[in-house]
Amino acid sequence: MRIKNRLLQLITVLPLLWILGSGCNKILDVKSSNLINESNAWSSINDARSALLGTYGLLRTALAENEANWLYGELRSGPFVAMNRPDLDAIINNKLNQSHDLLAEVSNWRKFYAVINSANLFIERSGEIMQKDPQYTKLNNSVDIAQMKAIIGITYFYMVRIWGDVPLLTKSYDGTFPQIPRSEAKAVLKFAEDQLKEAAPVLPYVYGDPNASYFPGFYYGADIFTWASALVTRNAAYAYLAHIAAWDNRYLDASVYADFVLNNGGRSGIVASTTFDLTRSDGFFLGQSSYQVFSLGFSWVDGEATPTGHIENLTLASPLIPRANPAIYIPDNRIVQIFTEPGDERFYIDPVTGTAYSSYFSNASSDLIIFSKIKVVGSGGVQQNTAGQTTNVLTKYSSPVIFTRLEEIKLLKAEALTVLGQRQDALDILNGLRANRGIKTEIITTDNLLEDIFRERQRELLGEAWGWYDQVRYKQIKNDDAAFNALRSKGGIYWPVAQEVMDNNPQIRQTEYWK
Amino acid sequence: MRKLLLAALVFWGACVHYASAEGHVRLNIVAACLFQDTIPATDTAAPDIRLAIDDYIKPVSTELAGKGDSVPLVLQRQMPLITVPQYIKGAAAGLYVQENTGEPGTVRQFMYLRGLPKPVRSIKDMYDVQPAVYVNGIPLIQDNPFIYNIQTYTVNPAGPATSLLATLSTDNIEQIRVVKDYKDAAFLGPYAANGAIYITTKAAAAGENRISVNSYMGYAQTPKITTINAAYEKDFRLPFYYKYGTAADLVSMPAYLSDSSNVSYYGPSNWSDRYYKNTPQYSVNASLTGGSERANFRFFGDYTRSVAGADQTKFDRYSGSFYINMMPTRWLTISSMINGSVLQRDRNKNFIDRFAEMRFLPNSKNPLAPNLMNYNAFLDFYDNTIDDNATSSIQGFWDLNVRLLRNLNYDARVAFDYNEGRRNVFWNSSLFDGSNYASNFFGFNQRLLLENTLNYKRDMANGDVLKFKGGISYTGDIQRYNYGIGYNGPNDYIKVNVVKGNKKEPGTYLVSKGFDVYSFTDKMQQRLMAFYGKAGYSFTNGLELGALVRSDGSSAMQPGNRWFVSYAFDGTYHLAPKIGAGLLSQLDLFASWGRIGNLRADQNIGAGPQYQSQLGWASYPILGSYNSFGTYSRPYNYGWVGYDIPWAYSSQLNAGTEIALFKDQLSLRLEWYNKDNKNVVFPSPVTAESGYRYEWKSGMVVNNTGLDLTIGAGLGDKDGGLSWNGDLNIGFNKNKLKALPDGSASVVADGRKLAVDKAIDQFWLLQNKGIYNADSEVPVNPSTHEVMTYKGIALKAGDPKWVDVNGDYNIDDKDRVLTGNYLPRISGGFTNQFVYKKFDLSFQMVFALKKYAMNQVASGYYGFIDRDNANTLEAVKEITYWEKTVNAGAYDLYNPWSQVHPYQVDQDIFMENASFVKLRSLSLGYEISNNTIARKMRRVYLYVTGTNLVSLSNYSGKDPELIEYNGYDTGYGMRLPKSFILGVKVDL
Repeated sequence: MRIKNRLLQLITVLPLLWILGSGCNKILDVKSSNLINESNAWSSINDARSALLGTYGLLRTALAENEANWLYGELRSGPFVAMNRPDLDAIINNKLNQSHDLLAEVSNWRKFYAVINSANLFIERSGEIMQKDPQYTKLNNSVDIAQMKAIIGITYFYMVRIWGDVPLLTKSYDGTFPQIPRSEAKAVLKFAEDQLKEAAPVLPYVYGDPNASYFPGFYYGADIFTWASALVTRNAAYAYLAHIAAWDNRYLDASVYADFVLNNGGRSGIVASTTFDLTRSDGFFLGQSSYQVFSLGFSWVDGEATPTGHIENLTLASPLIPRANPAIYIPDNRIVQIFTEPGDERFYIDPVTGTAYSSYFSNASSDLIIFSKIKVVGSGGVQQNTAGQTTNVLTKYSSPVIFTRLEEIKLLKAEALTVLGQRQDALDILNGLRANRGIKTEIITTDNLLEDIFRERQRELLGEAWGWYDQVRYKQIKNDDAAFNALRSKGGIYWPVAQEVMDNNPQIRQTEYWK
Repeated sequence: MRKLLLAALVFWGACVHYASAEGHVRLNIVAACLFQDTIPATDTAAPDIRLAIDDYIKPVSTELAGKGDSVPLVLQRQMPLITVPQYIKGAAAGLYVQENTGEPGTVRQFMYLRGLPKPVRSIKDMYDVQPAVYVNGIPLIQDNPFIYNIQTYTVNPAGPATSLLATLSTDNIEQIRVVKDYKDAAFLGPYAANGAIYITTKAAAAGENRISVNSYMGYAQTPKITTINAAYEKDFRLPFYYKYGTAADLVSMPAYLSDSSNVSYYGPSNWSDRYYKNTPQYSVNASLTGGSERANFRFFGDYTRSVAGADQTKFDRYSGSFYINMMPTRWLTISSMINGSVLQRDRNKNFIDRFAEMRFLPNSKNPLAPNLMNYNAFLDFYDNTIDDNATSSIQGFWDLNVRLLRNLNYDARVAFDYNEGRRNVFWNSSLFDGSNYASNFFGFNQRLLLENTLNYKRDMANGDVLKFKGGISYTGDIQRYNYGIGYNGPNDYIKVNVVKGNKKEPGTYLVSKGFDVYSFTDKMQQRLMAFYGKAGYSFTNGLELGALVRSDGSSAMQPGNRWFVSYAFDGTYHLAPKIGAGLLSQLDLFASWGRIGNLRADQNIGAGPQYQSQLGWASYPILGSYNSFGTYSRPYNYGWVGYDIPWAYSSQLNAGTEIALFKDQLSLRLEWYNKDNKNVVFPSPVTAESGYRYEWKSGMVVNNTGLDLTIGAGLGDKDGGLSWNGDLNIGFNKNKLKALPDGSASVVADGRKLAVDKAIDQFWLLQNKGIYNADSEVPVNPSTHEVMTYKGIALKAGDPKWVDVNGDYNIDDKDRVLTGNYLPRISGGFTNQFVYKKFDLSFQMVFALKKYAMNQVASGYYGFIDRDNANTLEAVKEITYWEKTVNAGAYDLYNPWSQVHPYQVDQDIFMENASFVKLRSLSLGYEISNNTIARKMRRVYLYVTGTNLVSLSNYSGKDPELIEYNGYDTGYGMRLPKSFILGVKVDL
């Protein structure tokens, strides 16, 4: 009995000893399932893919959040007017120093620097994976690093167009927060160009093609269709280079870079689009395709469609989506001013019969005409609800953020040729593009060639975030608008820097015009 | 043997001195003993068997039961209450409980014990400022706010959103203690950093089998409200149209207002006949207690229905508890508990809740028509829908108490708490513009607790007593959810998101048949390890001293900072015996100082530099992949987390006195506290060029100071004549931000500003000084000759005169000032009981004073143009829109079309005093004890109780309590129902 009692006592003390003996710190090491800590990162080929695509995703966020891509590129001084949206109205009328929440967010460049930081971190750290995972080859790593360099170049180019002078960060400074002042726009642009030029020869024309002559085989286990336009190809790099040169008013370079794309575009599957393709809800703007050169996608099939972050969220309204009014629209009289060419498939009113041919616009339930060139609701095409009605109740859009396409590059080439004096070649390109859109009249004189090219740009690229940048380049070439030159010299063509940015970095000074 | 008995007596005198002193305390403060004198409210007659054992040293689970403020539960047992926050509302000084909706069983009930320990930036932070709730020593696991990470709207957490504190019946609770003092809280450890609500259930006890049955039945009443229709609404709006509107504006007036022939909108507004209904609520529970001295048990079973009398909401609880105590040998006792409950909830039919769940905003800006016919037709749509909300919960422990030596006890304990919530939803296409919606949620929270304690006690030769206690405890938590939502199913007959099940086709395996599906899952794991030692010394002269040291290790902290060592010291001096038994029957002075580490509910800080999948943005947070592949990157949105982040901790100095007068007939307990929450980790802004929004830095300090005052009285004839027991508790509290990380003076986050030396619950508002009646009244900047602007937009006639604080002729955030406070500076309750012969009359009043609220309902009603144009969830109009809650003419007539948003909520005209005093309950009871019955039954008690009877307040909105956690009255809250019940308590 006595022994039994002692035994019982011993048993009761055992849990105590177990706890003591098993090492408390080990118990307290818990693996987290919703984040990755430093010791688990950069160790396998999947980490490389996650971090690489994460950087692309951050660029997508930077451009899509608040529909920023269109606020920067489309709205300013554009044909669109805002409806019940004083914040958008302020952007359209270049009153960017009004203090709306939207303006404060859009004028903050943090989200672009997240891309820069992430890309720099990839360049610095991805080499570690090669040591840990033999599947991750040297070539794979060098192509990935080239993409990240290209992304850095692209991101700085976007920032220079938006803010002019921006701080130039060339490494990640991981975990430290140095205060770096703004660098001259020209220097930043030079850096961006160098990054892209360095990356371009390493980048393949296509990813995931087993038959490619350079960098063949599946890329991260996925095929050519999966990667179409989702990653920076050599052609995409040259497209950006061409625009960097043009923005910098170096049209000889721009012409050479654009030629590269025009000559090699086919190797990346870059071809022209018909008006029908361009304006269908399941055409050019649906998902990702090689036509899009480089696009940041919101694929419906992959569950990445979002309700905000698309131009549709600004321009569409009932009956296309269940919303009474669009946030922005183009007034009727402006539409008629822009689309004047007979036979234009995009929009044209026959003066004889009065019939309107419109694939860019549609009638809203209200009296407005809404801009519906891009209208990829859901999976595109006709959306039906449970009740079998054709409606777009679930307004998630899957159109990607696009930079350029073949027509745009051709127009840039024509623009460059015009500046360089090869006006007839430029005119041929322009007339070819116009014919593709069904315009019946051919331009025979080069007298107003530059104006004609930019008018065609406006018609062709409406809604693709080019309007404002085109205006800046046009006036830069013409150099005859004193008011604009004054605006430009003081930085009024740029966005102001958000107050929050300056609060957190005293080295940053506000752009002269917005002080 | 006699010696032993004597030692035991002395031990009890010392070890649970408080318990014996608490005999007075309870008597005086709470008059609970008096209550028991007059009404034997308890069904546990014999004491715990273990108390009869020589030298028995209490296990941890029961030790604290004798300390802290006790909540008088007598009246609460006569009210139709279901959750712990309801039980303790207004019942302890320093405790403020806010029920911000009357919907039964919802999570939307918050407790604040001694103020606000850290700033609340969003609903997620509310989880960090709640006191812990213990049941028999088990800290109950609560939901983790990580569910909000995937939600676009934070109206309610996804899942059943049922309060996990609704599992206990008051009839099964022996007592609730509010642990505020760090002398006791430090003993409980990090869970109790915000204080603790320490619940002890009724225990198994020896004796002949005793049965208790409690039951009530009653009705929640329809409130008296004024309903309005479109004619009223139009009359309200027309003055604005006449004054500011153009002819075109008048034409574009919403159709439901402009067409006065529309009977649905212009006819009788009788929707409330269906929305509000007198609804029955009831409860029945029974307990059986009995057994021998060596083995005894208690069984308790309960069924309760709670209702709000509104929107057909209801809550059902089925619960059962089983307790066993065993003493196989003289040196060993085993006790165990199992509590199980199933909670079911019928939720409201608010648009806001539904749209938040569906992440979808409708096109229609028109509210439902106020006519009953239309409302009925709308509710008919719900016939073919599913909204099941069920929560199951089970807690239990197994406790072993071994007497190793005469003075040495060892206590081992294994406890667990597990609960799981399910919600299945199907809303048909009629409710959703032709599409349907299905969602399924399953989530669980699980906690395992292992505790080992050694207790040593030594009686000194001079009568002093020395005690030691040492312990080790381990807690492991796992929390997880799986949540799938699907849109646009094939038809309204398939209500479940069925997936394809052919494993041989990997391409389609588990792909939904017809729904557009999004699924979410997440898991959180936390572990906490603690070692502690505690010593106490009682001098025979009445002085008691105590000290505690503990070391806590948390998996949520970084490996280099896993452990946190903290201390607590306390002293109590019983002066009364020295002064003599004249006027004073008790005079104690006590003080304590302690420090407790604060736990984190997430794993982010512990991970240090990390990577997350964050590609979304505010309005769509769930995007995480690119081109179909999962991604990760540094947490640019969440913020950088570096190394060397120490534990946040709180330290509290507590001092007070307790006085009893006239043979305990009057008593007073006064406590002063000064509590600092230090090293609070807070997201501080960093350079934008780093890509990060924030860096998580420690260094914030928040201070709460206050006074807790409790006055008790028990006067009158206790032998059948008239007697009165009263208990008044008042808590005074004020908070202050003492420091921000890096020594910054202020930070703006999420529409709130935090400034050092200011309170953390202030509003940040524009000051409104009237209206500009003409354009010429708008001030002009003499240097630029431009008129004053609001955020760059020129002010005009019909715009508000906002004060330009910084004098730059532009009204913006820099002109907002910190003012008001949303937590009460004074709160408390007043409980009274009058007893005359066999009758007793009790009532409870609760109050919260010096408290303000933003009347967002009025802001939205007056700013109707902004509201009609806004595509936000807040702008959605519920059926309750047709209840008159806003008065016409209460504010100046601003131009509602103005782009400066004259009726925006963040201005001082919408800040109102939301102080209130409420008569929460009134109860009349009668004790039947005539001889015939008394022979068969030990006690029969009948009562009738009314709840939520009278509310006094200057607040112009619906109810000064139905206000969101952040001080904004959005109109969401359902009324706290006025109800009447008739109840009976029988002890056999």
